[in-house]
Amino acid sequence: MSASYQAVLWNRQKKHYDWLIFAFCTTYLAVFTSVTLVYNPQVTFETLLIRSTSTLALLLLHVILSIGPLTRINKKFFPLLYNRRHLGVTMFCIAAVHGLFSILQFHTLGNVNPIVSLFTSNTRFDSVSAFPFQALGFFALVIFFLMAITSHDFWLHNLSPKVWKTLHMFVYLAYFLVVMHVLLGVIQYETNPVFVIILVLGSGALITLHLVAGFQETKKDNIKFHLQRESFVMVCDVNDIEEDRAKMFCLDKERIAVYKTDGKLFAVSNVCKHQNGPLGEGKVIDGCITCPWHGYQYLPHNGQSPPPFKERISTYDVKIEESKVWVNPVPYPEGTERPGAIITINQKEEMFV
Amino acid sequence: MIRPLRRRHLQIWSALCVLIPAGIVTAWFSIKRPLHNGVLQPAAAQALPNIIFSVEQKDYVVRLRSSDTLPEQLEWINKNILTVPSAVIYETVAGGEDVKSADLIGRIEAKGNYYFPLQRNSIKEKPKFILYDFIHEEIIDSLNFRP
Repeated sequence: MSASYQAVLWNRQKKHYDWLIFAFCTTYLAVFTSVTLVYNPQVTFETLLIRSTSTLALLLLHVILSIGPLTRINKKFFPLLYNRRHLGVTMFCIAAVHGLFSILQFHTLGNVNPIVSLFTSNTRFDSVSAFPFQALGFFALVIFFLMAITSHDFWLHNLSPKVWKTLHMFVYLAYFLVVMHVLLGVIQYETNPVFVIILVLGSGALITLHLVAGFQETKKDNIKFHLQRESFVMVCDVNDIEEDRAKMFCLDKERIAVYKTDGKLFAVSNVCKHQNGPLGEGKVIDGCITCPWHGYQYLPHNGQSPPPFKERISTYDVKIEESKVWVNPVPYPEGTERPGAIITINQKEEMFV
Repeated sequence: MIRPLRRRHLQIWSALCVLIPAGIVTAWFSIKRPLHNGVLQPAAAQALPNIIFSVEQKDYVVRLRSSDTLPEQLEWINKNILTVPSAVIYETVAGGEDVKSADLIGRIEAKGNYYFPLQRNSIKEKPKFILYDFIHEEIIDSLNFRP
């Protein structure tokens, strides 16, 4: 969280995260190179580079795409999400090396512009085995490029979260293009089934994770709250909520996070202003509701980020009656101060019975 | 994440759940199988003792080899790194020009010796080998062997 833009707002976690990425990538490239040289010592540098970067980029893409559903299934994976953008930019750089050297290797020796050659040398769009698979990889790389250059918060704020998120949802199209690029490319001229097995396992795991997480979230969104009184809806018991944590409830169109902190309950929008992160899955740190995705903070009683920050979220009325928590799903304008609901001594005692 | 985005994610992955397996199955069944071995060369392949035919080009030497006990063998020696790195070899009969009806023999890449087992009786059938660039979909060289 920052009041002004910087290229990278380094902190301890980000440095550790990036060192881990660097160590993993260099180890992978070293192992891939060594194994290839043992089994195929005549391999050229260009071919080795093209193959090692392609497999590494594909592996990183699978890791990146699995982080989102993993965090929705288990909160322990949130640290992976914190600096996911650096992982994405790293993956793009590695994929770009693969793309660049592939174009150099396959399309620079003729008298046609290499990019023109990429699209005109093979036009067998009616064939599966001879499909011009390189074009699929090229389009995927263009999507990764657009995502990488707009990954900074500057673009998030200037494009608006809606446009930014829509643009970054194209990663799923890019993933499909990459899968087809592999299937219609290298696999067509390799009889070793290990390539297909790895791809089936990777995409199978990814699809399963996303579907499991997606159905879990839909189930949460569709929970019905039947007990209503004077525009308030009964959502849970006060002792269902842990101290400095929240529970989320989808009462109308969007989820509301009910936080318990400092002897009170506060209800705020569950949607972080930064990247729509789930505030209800975060916790109260230094008296502020802290988004689990990137650490954006809001004061529980008014939904405002502490100065000098200017983000604001909606607040809601919440009350406690006989240890039951009631929430009014009509939002107040963003940043409106609300008193919260005081947890009385009796309610606290009930909590420990 | 807001509710419409959660719904969109689920819709996209439901679609990918169908599209990706369909793509994998289609691609797998469209793979053109080589005659005897994997496309990349096994490192332990050895040259058979008898040379039936031999052709020498600027960048490569191609020989048909045989032995008393084993099927014929194509020996491909890349003297230099080919300017076309994505090359495969097809085998057809004299006069054949279309790789669609030819047999995929194997793939060659870097400098070195490559050995591919063959199925035909080359002495009788006058084989023709086509060096083919599968990225650009074009024939690089055609090698006819005549007794």
